[in-house]
Formats: sequence, structure tokens, C-alpha cells
Amino acid sequence: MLRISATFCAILLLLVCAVGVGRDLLDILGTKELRVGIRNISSEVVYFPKNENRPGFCFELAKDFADYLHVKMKIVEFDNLYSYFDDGVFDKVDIIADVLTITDARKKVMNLVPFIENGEILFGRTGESVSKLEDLKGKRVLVLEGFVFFNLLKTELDNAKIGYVVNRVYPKDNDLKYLNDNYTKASKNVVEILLVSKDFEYYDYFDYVQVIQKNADVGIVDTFSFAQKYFNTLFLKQNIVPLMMLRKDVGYLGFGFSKSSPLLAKEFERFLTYAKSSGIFNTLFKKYMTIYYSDYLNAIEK
Amino acid sequence: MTIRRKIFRTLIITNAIILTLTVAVAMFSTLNRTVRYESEKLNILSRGFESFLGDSISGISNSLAAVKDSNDIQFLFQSDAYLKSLSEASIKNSLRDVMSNYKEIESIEITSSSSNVLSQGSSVVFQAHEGKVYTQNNDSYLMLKIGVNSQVNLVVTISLDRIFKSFIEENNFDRYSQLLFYEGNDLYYVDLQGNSSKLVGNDTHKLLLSNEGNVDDLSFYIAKPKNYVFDDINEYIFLMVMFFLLVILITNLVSQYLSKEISSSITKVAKLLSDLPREHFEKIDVEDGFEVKPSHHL
Repeated sequence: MLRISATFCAILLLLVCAVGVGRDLLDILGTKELRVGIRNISSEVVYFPKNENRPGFCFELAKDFADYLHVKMKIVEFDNLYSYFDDGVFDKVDIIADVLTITDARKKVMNLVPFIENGEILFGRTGESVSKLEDLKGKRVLVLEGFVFFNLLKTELDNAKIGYVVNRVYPKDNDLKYLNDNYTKASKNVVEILLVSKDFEYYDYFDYVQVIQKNADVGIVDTFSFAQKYFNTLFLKQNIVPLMMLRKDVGYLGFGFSKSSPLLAKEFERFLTYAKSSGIFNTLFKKYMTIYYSDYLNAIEK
Repeated sequence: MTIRRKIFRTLIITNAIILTLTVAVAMFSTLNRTVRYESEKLNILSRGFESFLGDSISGISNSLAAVKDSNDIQFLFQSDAYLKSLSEASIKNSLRDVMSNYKEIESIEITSSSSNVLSQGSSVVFQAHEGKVYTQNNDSYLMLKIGVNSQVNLVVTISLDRIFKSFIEENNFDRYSQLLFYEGNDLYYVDLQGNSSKLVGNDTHKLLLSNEGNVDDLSFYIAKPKNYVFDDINEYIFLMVMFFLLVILITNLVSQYLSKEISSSITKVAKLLSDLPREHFEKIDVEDGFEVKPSHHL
């Protein structure tokens, strides 16, 4: 009996080690250190350490949370979005501070605490006019594999009974090269989805650059990132126009927590409530977006 | 000397003194009023230019806020060549728009530490010059530094010649006005004939100055050459002199006439008296209201 129990405990321990066990609130308060996982992709929305004025909305929100807990913040940089979902990630970090779209699939992997309302917005070059999904026929829409926009776009097109073809592409020499596997020539009556391979090293503004370079006609980004970039970037204002929302539902972007850190996730929720009621959140929002949080909510809920 | 001549001399001297004093007081008062009027006008000009330049600087700063706060500035220092070129082009577009709205801007530059990262317009001033104003090749410039972060600045070069000219022309002010400002310890001037250089020696004594104006740490005066200030009253002085001579002439004639009339009456009376027999006296009734009071005897 004792041997069976010992074996069971060993197996349990191995399993726990495999998925990674996050530290909870008391561990963080005890060590006085909050380990924050974040991508350094020169994005004002996420983390841009070289930018003194706007080092990153997620970075600053995480910093405010660390200050709220009276602990130091330690940054752990990640290369890409996918690595957040690797095994053992919460052995290295306590919180993932990034613009993680909250989906059912992701919620199975980690606790996602929403910090901002979000939608998906389609954009094109100046002069482009797309006001309904039907207008996407004959156009090339750029999405990235692994980003939620791909599945959302397919679902919306299916619901609207609009045909589409998916062609895999890979960026090379300022161009999007078709990968030979399953290439389908798109007619004018269908939407051509250009799917960028998952192994491509994504950089901030990649979608906008492809549309400006005419490698694609339409791109999809989240409204939160779009607001920050569009209102603060001259070359976007001069070359890009917002077209339409992909769907009517408003979703959320959230920070990620280990399933084994419920108290920390709960404390983050409390902090958000405090930050939103005290004006801290609105001040931070205005600094990055140039518009008020309430105006942003009105815009995406219309 | 005849009595007629004596009377004439008395009259002419008296009139000349009164007239000279009147003219002197009138001229002094006119000069004083002119200087006060011109000084007040220069003070108003100085205050006007203070707000004109201040409005221009704040307008330029506000227009450049979109560039200063943009993400594009950050991309100028990133390794991604395409993002950098997109940002450069967009920033230059925006700077061009600002410059077309503010014609007094000579150039706008983005600098990092001591190097020039991007410039729009003719970059005449950026030579690691740290002063507020700069004079070069008969032109003067005001430098406006807008901090982006601890390393990066937007440096706007404003042509003082152009902004002063447009201020004077827009308000239809005196074209002889000059703008004086200090560069270090040296006093420089800008005029509307396109001249700008250092004032030497006692040149300031030839100028009528306003009170000191100050905008964004630039101290300045509005000045007007004194010869132009008094140019307007030269005609007045000439007329006064002519009037003086005319009045002297008239006074001379009137004095001659009066002296002739008075002296002829006196001559007649004297002649009449001389013709009277010396023994014959008649009582004259004095009717001057003077009463001799009877003396009281105790």
C-alpha cells in the first residue's frame, strides 16, 4: 500500500513538473518579486523598452500591479506568442503580460483575466472601401497562423456563405511568396486568405507593412493594438484606413496566469477594479491611445 | 533817440521775447510729446511682438506634438529599414505641412545627442549651436528645441527676419522699426530691409527703444532710429520757424504803426503844452476814486 502511494505521488509530481506549477500570491509576497513574461517586439501596446515615453501598455500595467502588491517586477522576455503556451512556462513566470485574446481553447491552458474589451478590425490601404464581408470577394486578406483572427474570419465567412480559399505564404524580400503546397488560384467571387506560416518570426507592424506594400489588400488586427498604432503612427494615418469590424461581438484581451495561481489571478482582478475606478487605468489608456477609455468602448461597441 | 524809436524798440523787444518763449515752449512740448508717443508706440509694438512670437511658438509646438509623440520617431532608431523609411517619409510629410502653415520656419531637424537624424528645410543653423539665437550671413534665427526624450530633440529654426517682417506687415506698422536682441553679450538687430547684424559702438544712442520684451527666454527690444522719429516733426519745426518769422515781421509792422501813433499823440500833447502860457493853470478834477480822508485832530 505504501509502495503504491509512493508511486502515485511520484507520478503526480512528474505530471506537475511537466505542465509547470505557478507560484501563487503568497509566494510572490514572500519573495517580494513578480516575474512577468512579456514579448519584446518593439510594440507600444506590449513592450518597447527603448521607447522612453511609451515603454508598453502591458508592461506599465504589470508594473502598476507590482507596485500595488509592493513587490519588485522582474521581466522575462519571450520570443513569440506561441511560446507562452509551451510546457513549464509558469515555472519561469508568474504572469503573462500581453494582449492575449481570450478564447475557450486558451482558457483550458491558463487562467486569462480580461483587462480590456476588444474586437477585430479590418484595415486596408487608403482608398480601399470594404464595409461588409461581401466586399472582401476578390481581395487578399492577410492572417497569421496561430492568431485567433484566422478561425474567426473563416467562421464569419462561413456564416455569411462567402467562399474563400486559403493559400499559405511566407514573407521573403519584402514580398509574400506562395508556398507550393495546396496553392489554389482565387477567382473574383471568393476571398483569398493569405495565411502566414506559424514558423515566421512575427514583428510588430508586420500586417500593416504587407498591406502598404500591396502584398495583401486587407489585414486584421485587434482593436486595442489598432487604436494605439493608428492614432500614434504617422505612416499608418497616411497610408491605412480602418474598414469594418469583423464581428459584432466584443471580446476581451487578458493577462495569463497559471491554473495553480488562483489567488494571484483574483488579486489582479481586484487591482483592475481599483485601477479603473481610481482613474489609473484611464490615465494609462489615454497616454497610449490618445483617446479616453470610455470613447474607445463606445467606438468598438457601435 | 526819438520817442517813436524808443516806443518801437520797447514793443518789438517785448513781443520778440513773448513770441520766442511761446515758440520754444511749443517746440519743446511737441518734441516731448513726439518722443513719448513714439516710445509708447514702440512699447505697444514690443508687447504685440511678444504675443505674436509667443503665439507662433506655441502654434508650432502644438503642430509638432503629433510628430513628437508619434511612434514613427522611435522607428528612426530601429534596425528595420522598411519601417524606418516609411516613418521618415511620413515624418517629412508632416514637417512639410507644419512648415507650409508657418512660413517663418527655416528648418526642422530631429537630432539625437549631437547628430542630425532627419531634417526638413534648409538646415542653416544646426552646427551644434546651443544658443537661443543665431546670426549668420545677414540673417538671424531663433532656435526652438522640443524634447522628445532624454536623447532626441526636435529643433525648429525660426527666421527672426521673416517673423518680424510678417508681424510688421500684418499689422501695418512702421517699416522703420527694428528688432534688437542679445546673442550672448552682443546686441544684434534685424530690420525690414533684410539686414541683420551686430550693433557696434554707440549705435543704440541713435535709436529710440521700447521696454524689454521676453518670449521663451529671448529678450528683445523694438527700436526706431531717432532720425526717423524726428523726421515727422521736421516739417512742423520748419512751419514754426516760418510762422515765427512772419509773426516777427507783422510785429515789426504793428510796432512801427503803434509807435508812430503813440508818439504822434504824445508829440501833439507836448506841442499843445509848449504852446500854453506858462502862468495859466486850470484846476484838474481828479476822478480816480481816491478820497483824502479828513485828518482827525485830537
